[in-house]
Amino acid sequence: MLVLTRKSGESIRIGDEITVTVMEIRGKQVRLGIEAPAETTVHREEVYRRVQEENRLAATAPLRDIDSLGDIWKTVERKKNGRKGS
Amino acid sequence: MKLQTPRFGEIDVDQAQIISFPSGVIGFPQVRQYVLLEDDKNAPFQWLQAVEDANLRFLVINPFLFRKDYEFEIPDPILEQIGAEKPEDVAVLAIVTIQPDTHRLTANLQGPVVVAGNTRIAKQLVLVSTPYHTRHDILEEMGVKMEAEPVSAGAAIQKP
Repeated sequence: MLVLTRKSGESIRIGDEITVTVMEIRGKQVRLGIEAPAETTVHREEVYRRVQEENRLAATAPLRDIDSLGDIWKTVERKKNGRKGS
Repeated sequence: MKLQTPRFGEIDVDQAQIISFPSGVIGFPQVRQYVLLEDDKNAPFQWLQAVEDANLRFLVINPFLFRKDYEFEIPDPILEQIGAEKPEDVAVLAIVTIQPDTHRLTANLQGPVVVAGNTRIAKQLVLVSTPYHTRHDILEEMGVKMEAEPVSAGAAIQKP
């Protein structure tokens, strides 16, 4: 990993189009400003990772034998409609 | 094109059915082509089945079926990327997880999949500053307190 030391107000440039600026350092928190082309997506790492992990979990479930979701769905809809009617 | 799937056996995939994900589904960047398969026994859930990897598939659902007020903004550059002219041209899918410990059906509303109807190009978004998270209990969202049913979903999974 490349490690650079920057002061508040200083930037780094990634490739030709991405600039990351240290806006403010306060205690343990650093505020970063990111300039990037519109098509570049920027995410907080933990949020991106949470989605990634959920996808992996979704993909690895032993889904082959699932065949009753349609029935469950119908039951739920019935309960919902029944409650509405009462 | 023939595709061997664990669930449906051999299926015939028409080129026109293919939904392409130029950057893949998050966590699966190499797999770019999917088809959306209906499944009578599990409707309204559907399968997002990878074309290049027959073992990769996601259970998905139209999130508006259980969360009518679901909403998020699709940034213009994303609309452009998938080739949609306006948000109305976009179909939304939520990826469903059956939680291994509780057997609850949860939908990822923080990472919706958007598909442009005209181009069939899709992308999974990651929503920021959003009230949604990655594990919305679908049955709870429908406002129904379920006791026995999620267990039977579990039983369905564990069947040999």
